[in-house]
Amino acid sequence: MADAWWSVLALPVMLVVAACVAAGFDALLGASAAYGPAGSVRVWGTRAATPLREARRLLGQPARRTKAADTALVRVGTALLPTAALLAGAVLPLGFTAVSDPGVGIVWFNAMEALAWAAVWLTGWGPNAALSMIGGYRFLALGLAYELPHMFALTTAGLGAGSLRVGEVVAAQEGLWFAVWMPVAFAVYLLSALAMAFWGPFDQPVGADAAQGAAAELSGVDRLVFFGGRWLLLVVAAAFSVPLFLGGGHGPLLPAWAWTVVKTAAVLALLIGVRRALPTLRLDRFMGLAWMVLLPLVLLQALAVSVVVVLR
Amino acid sequence: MTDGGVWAGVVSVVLAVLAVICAVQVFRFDSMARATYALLGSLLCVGGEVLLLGLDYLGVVIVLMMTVEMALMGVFMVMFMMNPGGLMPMTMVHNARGAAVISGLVFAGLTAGIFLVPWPVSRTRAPADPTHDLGRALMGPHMLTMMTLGLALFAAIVATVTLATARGRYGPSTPAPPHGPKGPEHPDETEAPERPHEQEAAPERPHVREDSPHAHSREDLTPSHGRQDPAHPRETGSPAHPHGREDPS
Amino acid sequence: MELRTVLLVAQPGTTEIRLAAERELRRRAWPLAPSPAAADLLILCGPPPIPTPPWLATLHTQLPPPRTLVALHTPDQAATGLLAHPVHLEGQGAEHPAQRPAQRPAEHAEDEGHSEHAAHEEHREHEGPHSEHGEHGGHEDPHSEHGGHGQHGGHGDHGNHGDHGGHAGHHMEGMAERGDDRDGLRLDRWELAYGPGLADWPAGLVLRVVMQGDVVQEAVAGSVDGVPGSGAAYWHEPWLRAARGAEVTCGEAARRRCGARLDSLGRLLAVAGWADQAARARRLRDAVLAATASRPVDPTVLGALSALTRRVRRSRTLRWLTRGLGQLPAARVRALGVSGPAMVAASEGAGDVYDRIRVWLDETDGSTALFTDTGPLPPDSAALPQHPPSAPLLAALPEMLAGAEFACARLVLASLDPDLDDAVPAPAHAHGHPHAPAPAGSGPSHG
Repeated sequence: MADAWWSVLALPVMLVVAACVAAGFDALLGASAAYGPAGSVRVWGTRAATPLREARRLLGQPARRTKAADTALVRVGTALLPTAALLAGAVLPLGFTAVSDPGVGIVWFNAMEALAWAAVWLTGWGPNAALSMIGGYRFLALGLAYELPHMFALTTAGLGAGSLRVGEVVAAQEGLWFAVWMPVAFAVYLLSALAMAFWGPFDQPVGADAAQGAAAELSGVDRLVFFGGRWLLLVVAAAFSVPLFLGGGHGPLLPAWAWTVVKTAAVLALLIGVRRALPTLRLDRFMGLAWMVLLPLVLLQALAVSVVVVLR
Repeated sequence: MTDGGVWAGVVSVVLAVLAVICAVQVFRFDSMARATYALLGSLLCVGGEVLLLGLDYLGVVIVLMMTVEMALMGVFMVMFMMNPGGLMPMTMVHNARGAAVISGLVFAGLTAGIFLVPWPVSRTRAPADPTHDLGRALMGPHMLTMMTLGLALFAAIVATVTLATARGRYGPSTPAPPHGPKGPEHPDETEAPERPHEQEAAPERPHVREDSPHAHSREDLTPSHGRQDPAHPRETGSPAHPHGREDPS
Repeated sequence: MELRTVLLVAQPGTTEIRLAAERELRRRAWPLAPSPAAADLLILCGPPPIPTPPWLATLHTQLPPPRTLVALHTPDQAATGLLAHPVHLEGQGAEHPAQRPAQRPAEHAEDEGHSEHAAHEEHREHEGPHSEHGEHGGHEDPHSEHGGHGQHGGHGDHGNHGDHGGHAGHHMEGMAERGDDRDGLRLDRWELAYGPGLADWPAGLVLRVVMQGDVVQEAVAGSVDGVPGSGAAYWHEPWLRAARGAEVTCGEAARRRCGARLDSLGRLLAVAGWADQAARARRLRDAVLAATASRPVDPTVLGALSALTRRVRRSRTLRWLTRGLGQLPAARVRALGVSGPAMVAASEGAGDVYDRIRVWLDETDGSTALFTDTGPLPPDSAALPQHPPSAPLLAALPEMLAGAEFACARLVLASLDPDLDDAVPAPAHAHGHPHAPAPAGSGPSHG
């Protein structure tokens, strides 16, 4: 897996494009629920473009601040979210090419994604507002619930390949995808992908009940950067499941990069659909599930994989 | 020195300077949130230094662990510093003079150590995969220790969580206690509940700063004073009568 | 097409206007904003009260500029042009000299703990343009606790701070105090008021709470001031008309009841974070309410309605999330004189949030059969909703919300869905007879 200079430039562009497409898709789903099916292609197009129009609106909107806010913290928090997503994306292979393929790629991904903890907390704490603070607080609970099962899911994939290098994890799946023989780890990874982007049933940190929680006081560019960063995080989280569990660029007929794109799109569509199907999981309930069900399950999965690896 | 070496040196110096600046800010900020994240910034720079040393795994793990740990400090901020945005000024230093002397001495001692200790010169080359070697070193001869430690820690975590849930916040008995937080089941609550940060916070609180929210407090619902004495909003907790307009009689 | 994000604020007595506005926004595909910061248009249902109450002025200034406030006086105005009625609040942008000194206190703060002003200078810069708006507008209350911060400087331990932060519930205004939490830890607590600016919130309700973290320790429900007295509840209107002797068909009453339940359901689903089903419930609500005797409810709407109730009923996630939450057992129901779905839920089940949802779903399904019933609604009092059905619900809130996390508190509140317009002049004072036939709230008893 060679590093290519152009990938440094291509990565942000591709991630942003993917995020826009995903947001458009999500807007279409949301609009058909809210307004009924699209009557014409024009309506369809307008609906799909809603995220872009919203982005343009936010770009032109002067920021509004709350009283006695710690604006510096808010700025750091909002900017950290897309930054974390891009840094985590650095180890994403497109086909078999990544910006970087360090020996500890999986841990790198985990560390960068954990920056979202800080990002959401800071964004929620900074504005000096009750609901905003509650939102930031909720992310800590969410992190405590999802992070350990998530780490063990990552570890399991690394175990299967005998390496923390993403390239070698992909290489190990040339025959059989990890998703096939470590389904629990794959499922847990998908759940934690939703959670790390506080998406779907895990959107309590920006929950509707708390007026979008951590984002309640964001307007203008801050808001755009925060929610844009969240989309990037979701895309990156979905895309990372491909090298980890879905065989990366391996696949018949199509070139490797196309397989990566196809698989990423499928996972992303699944994650976006899940949000539409479920109400928000309250963390007081999910915490129990995560610690008492998911964690033991994924530990058993890791054990099973270890046994297979030792025996083979 | 190669080109890459030069760059690594430059980055190393930059990270070191940043780490020190952030560390100093920890003690200069008077907001807990800022101090915490200044500390995180400093630790991230240290993680970067470790990465530059070629210890990828350790460096990245430092970043990961420190981020999560510092984020979790937020729980304590909410518990004990729920003041607006953490901007209630509170000083991060105590016994400033003594602390300065002690830290100065420690710094001098460590610096002297750097120059005085005869550092051994490595005769072996750096391993190709230090992560692998680290794993071998930890899990080879010390397997039993690590496993015991791991289990013990994990058991401690689970036990703590279980103990914490017994009171009902994250457990099957999630529904709220019907009559408020202070049930009769805590008769001994006066028995010195933990008060970390009390010392720091207490002397600072009365001094409300200019940009603290207190100076701005609004009373947006003032007309309701007529019906609800603002001094005793808590005493209206009885379900006797709501303050609505629903009783026309 | 221009995209506006709208903060829709309903005053008491404006249900019909709110429904019209929601319909219009859906037609334009303008999203509803979850918070003032996300909005660029504030739509107020009902005429703006004069003088401008502080909550409204505050809410308005919480919108990012350029902010527009539109007041809809009648339901028709929603359709005839949302933007045709911009309002300029009195006192907007004007400085209140009396308040300035309080905002610019003396250099009193410059003592040892505060040598870090440089690090915080960005806080001060907001003070000028931001806080001079209507936040203090109309603030002439003589017994203000907050005349200046100097008077606070001295006490180390305030008993409490009364009325901080009451408005949209978006800013932390007060200073945190310590108080014992349920585990006996002395933790910071915060007094705030969640108010009329929250989305999916009962119109005109103000909830004063003491929070520790995201846990509600104490709560008191009240109503927002500065709004005109509400008329008869929109959801009870057919029964009221029938009681006055007018000719009302059972079908109309059934549709109104179905609309009321769908409105509550949509609100609860939105609070529960199930946006798609919430949107469906609201679309169907409007379709049902738009029907008349001559233009009956479309069969596709009926199909979608049963699909929705089936879907919600079958959701294991929703059941898992709401089971055991916000129990209002039968004994409390009797003691408080609660009627309506909450009473049915308590008699048929444990009386938790999920039971109340189920009662709504049952009533929604049950009312569809009566949609085309042209029989007259009997004008007797049994069909009237009982004496203010929402009053006992508001009275029940403090005990139900104490100790609940914010998310749970929102769900409990949404599942009770008190309607502050319920000040129904009830001729037959059924209060104290919860077993009287009328399943009040807003529904016909027969059926």
